[in-house]
Parts: sequence; C-alpha cells; structure tokens
Amino acid sequence: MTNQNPYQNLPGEAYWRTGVASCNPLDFEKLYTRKFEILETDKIATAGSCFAQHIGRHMAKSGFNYRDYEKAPPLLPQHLHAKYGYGIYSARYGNIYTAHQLSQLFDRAYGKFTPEETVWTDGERYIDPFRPTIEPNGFSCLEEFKILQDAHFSAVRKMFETADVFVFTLGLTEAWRHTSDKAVYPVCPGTAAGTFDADVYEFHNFTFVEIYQELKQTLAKMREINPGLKVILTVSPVPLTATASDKHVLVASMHSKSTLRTVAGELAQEDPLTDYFPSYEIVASHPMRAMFFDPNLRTVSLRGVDQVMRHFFKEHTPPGVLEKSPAGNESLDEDDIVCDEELLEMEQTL
Amino acid sequence: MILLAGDSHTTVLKRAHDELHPSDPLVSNIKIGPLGPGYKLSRRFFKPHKNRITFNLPMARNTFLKTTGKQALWFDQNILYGFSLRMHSFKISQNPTWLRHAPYELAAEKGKAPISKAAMLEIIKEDIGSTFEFYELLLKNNVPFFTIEGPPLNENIQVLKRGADKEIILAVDKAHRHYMQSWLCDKGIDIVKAPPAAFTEEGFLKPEYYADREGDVRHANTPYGRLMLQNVLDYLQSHHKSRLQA
Repeated sequence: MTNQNPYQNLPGEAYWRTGVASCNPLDFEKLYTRKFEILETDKIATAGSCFAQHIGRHMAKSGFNYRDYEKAPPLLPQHLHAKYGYGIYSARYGNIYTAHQLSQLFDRAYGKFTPEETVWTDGERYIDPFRPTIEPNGFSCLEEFKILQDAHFSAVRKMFETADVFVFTLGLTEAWRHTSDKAVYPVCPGTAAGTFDADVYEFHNFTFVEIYQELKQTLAKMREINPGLKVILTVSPVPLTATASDKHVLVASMHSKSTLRTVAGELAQEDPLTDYFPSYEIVASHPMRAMFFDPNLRTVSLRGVDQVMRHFFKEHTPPGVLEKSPAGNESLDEDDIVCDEELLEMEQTL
Repeated sequence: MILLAGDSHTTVLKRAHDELHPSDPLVSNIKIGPLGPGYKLSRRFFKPHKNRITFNLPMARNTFLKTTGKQALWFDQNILYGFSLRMHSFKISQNPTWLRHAPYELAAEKGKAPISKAAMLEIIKEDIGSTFEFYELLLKNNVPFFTIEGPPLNENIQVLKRGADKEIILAVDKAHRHYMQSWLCDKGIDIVKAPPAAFTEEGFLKPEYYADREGDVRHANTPYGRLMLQNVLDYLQSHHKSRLQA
C-alpha cells in the first residue's frame, strides 16, 4: 500500500497543463521519443502520401544515408525531376496513400499480383494506372511502358531488400479500386488520367481492421526478405481534398486520420521494430491553432514541415549537412578548355 | 557577304578557308568567325532589340565588329549567315549519365536504367534550347541564314574510355541529331550536314579527321574542315549562287 497514485510525480509532459496549456506550442518538448536509433550507415527509404515528400527531402539533405533507388538521369534538368517522378521518394512510385497500395506495390514488384488492368491508353499514349503522374504525357508505346515499369519494380525490390529503415506515411482510408480484382488506384480513375466507369471502379473506405491487417501483413512480407527492417510510421496531417463517403469532408477527414492514427499506434505498440512519429499531432492537433497550415487549411506550410522535422531530428540527430554537389552538366571540363583555346586561335586570325 | 559563325567547330572551317588563294572570290565573299565556346552558347548568349540582336559574349561582339563593322547582328538582307551553334551532341554524349542510364530502347539489353523518350527529349531540349531560341528570333526578323552541322563524335571521348557502351553513345548522338534536324526542318531552316565520308561505319569520326591537338577529342582537323567547307560551298552554289558571285 502506498499513498501515491500512478498520476503523481509524472514528468511535465504527461500532464496537459504543464505539457500543453502552459507551453508555447512552438516549444513543446518530448512529443516524440525514439524507439530505436537510426545509425549513420542505415539506408533509409521513404514512401507514402504527399506529406512524405517533405520527410524524404529533409532526410536527404540532413546527411542521413537516404537512398534513392531509381535516380534521375544526371542530365535531366533538376527542375524537371519532380515532373517525371524522380527524387520525390526512394523510387518512382508516386504517392502511396493507402496501406493497400503499399501492399499491392510489394506484391506487384515480386510478381505475386498482376492487376487485370495494367495500362490505360489516352489516344496514342500509354499511362500507368498505378502511377498516373509519373510521365507527364504518358509513354509513347507499350514497349516503353513495360521497360520503364520493369526497371521500376527492380528498383522497388532493391529498396525492400536493402533498406534498413523504411519511413511510411499513411495518408488516406478512402480509395478507388477495380471491381473484380480489387486493385487499388492512387487516385480516382478519370481524375489525373483514365476514364471513370462506375461498372469497373468502386469506392471503398478501408476500415481499421482492414488497414491494420493489411499493413501488418505487408510489414511481415517486407521482413521476410529483409529481417530487422526498422519501420517508422507517420500519419499525414494533410486533410482530404474531397471525400466520396457521403459525409462532410471535415468529418470524413477526421474519421480517416483517426483510423490511420490508431492503426499506426497499434502496430507501433505491438512491434519493437516499428515506431510511430507524431507528424499528425505536431501539425494538426488543436493546440497548434492551424498555424502550420497554408491559408487553405489543408496543405502544410514550410514552417510546419520544419517544425515536424525539428522534432524528428531532435531524436534522430543527423550526421551532418551534405554539401550540394554541382549539377553534372554544369561543370567546365577539360574539353571546354580546349574549346576556348580553339576559338582564341580563330579570333586572332579574323 | 556570307558570314559563317558559331562555336569552336567553326575553327576548322576557318582553317580550310585560310588555305584558299587570296585571289579566290570566296575569300572576300565569305567571312568566318567565332561567337563563343559551346558551353557558353548553351546559355542565353544574345539579347533581342527592336532591329538588332546584341550579344553577351565579347567574342561574338568582336566577330561582328570585325566582319560587319557593327557589334551586333543587324537585319541586313545583304548578309547571309551560316551558323554552327551547338549543332552536335558532344556535351550530352560525353556525360557520365550513360554509365548508368540509357535510352529505354537499349536499357534492358545493356543492363542500364531506362530513360523514357520524353525525358530524353527534355535532356536534348535543355542542351540546344537557347540555340533554337536564337534561330526563332532570326526567323521572326526575316534574317537570311542556314545552319551547319557539327562533326561526328570521336570514339575516344572520356565516357567511352570509362566503360560506357558505344551503342548507347551513338543512340544518344543519333537522337540529338534527329531532334535537331527535325526541328530545323519543321521551321524551314536549311542544314548543311556533316560529310558522310567523315563517318566510320559505326557512326564515329574517322581517325584521319581527329584533331591534331593531343587530347582534343571534341574537334575535327583541317582536312575535315576542307570537306565541310566544300559541303557549305556546294550548298551555297545550289541555294544562294547569286551571293557567291556578288
């Protein structure tokens, strides 16, 4: 018997008053305590919904061993990399909004699932239904589509097999899928590409149980080929652009994020190699008063991203900031110097 | 007057031209001068004005001053221009990109990461974008001009010595030339092509046309300049005979 109850003598962050109410939201402490260390040599890969782009970009700049398994050709101008899906994530898979999409990517990369519908056509162009924005105007022929897809799957396999840390940002519960084989699309067919057909595509709002089971199985599949893979789950604080659930978008958004947050928390709680990083809370919880959102109250401002990464890097101290190397096609090589000499000779004899 | 101007590949034309007998009317009718090195011409090297184009590069201004008496390009119908401006793939062909990547058609066979057709076009456009912008400006102002293709690639370029696949490099060169020629053709701009006699069966520059300067794998030599100048003269004879007689 003791006079003390479990709520006495807890650290400051355990109490709402000292952890939140009396603190400047910019100075919240211990929102995140890491479960495991990220070593300087650990190969890090990222995937997920659009918010994951920020995480990947910051990891790449931080000096961590962030890996891009499907690198842009060095000659492709930097300002076009994102347009062609390069450098956004660790491979050119585009946004992966749902746990089912991640699972599907894994299965497709290993030939365990082939969707009925593998390609869309738009006039004479060929579009990948599962990464419709990867080539701005689609592919020129089926052969090109296939070669680029094979290379992509090869990069994805390498990522799953060699990464030491996989950071996955859960974005949505709502998805559109094929009615017969249940293949999940990143966006509703007919929006970014393709043509909508209500007989072919159906809306589905994945439940907690479905997402939990799918993600758990996916992590198990990943660790079958890569034992010891450390996983960091986050939930995107970006609300839904639109809902097809018949609910108000605000209500649907809250439902979606709450479900994803619970799945992530559940998996992190039961698996020692899965951690949860609270990017959702850092940006979207009410003490932040929406200060980290842009005026549309949906997209996260750069300040918000910085705040998220500040909390992350406080626990995972980056090894050091990388110096940006000059672009491959900008350097002056010996041949350029030869050029100058040739020209000077000509100029002198004019 | 006919003014042939451009990047460092113009030098061999000048050397060949310098060999002509001083009494040859071609000597007085044709002037040849540099605009600047290719790597500087890959950026926007000119500035449009109402009735003239000025140049950011002192070398270009100097050439125009010495040959036309003005530091800028004026829209004078009495002057026919022949430009050799980044009319070759050297800058992209010799890039280390091709050690890891390849145009998609060759990627699987060569074990390289594929580049889509659209991304290849972006790479080529980036390389010759400012040149096309310059040509469009000339067209807009009705300046009479034609273009002169650069020499074939030398198979001793660094990227090949580092292990890049010849077939990939030739495919890149071919794609570059094809895009350039299609664009010029669509715009109705004449091209004096590199002489077929200078190409090996594979598509590289024949060794007898290698530059004399040791280590120079970018340029061709004076004998190549003679061949190319002859091509230019043949073109002028067939398309602009009156200007040669002027």
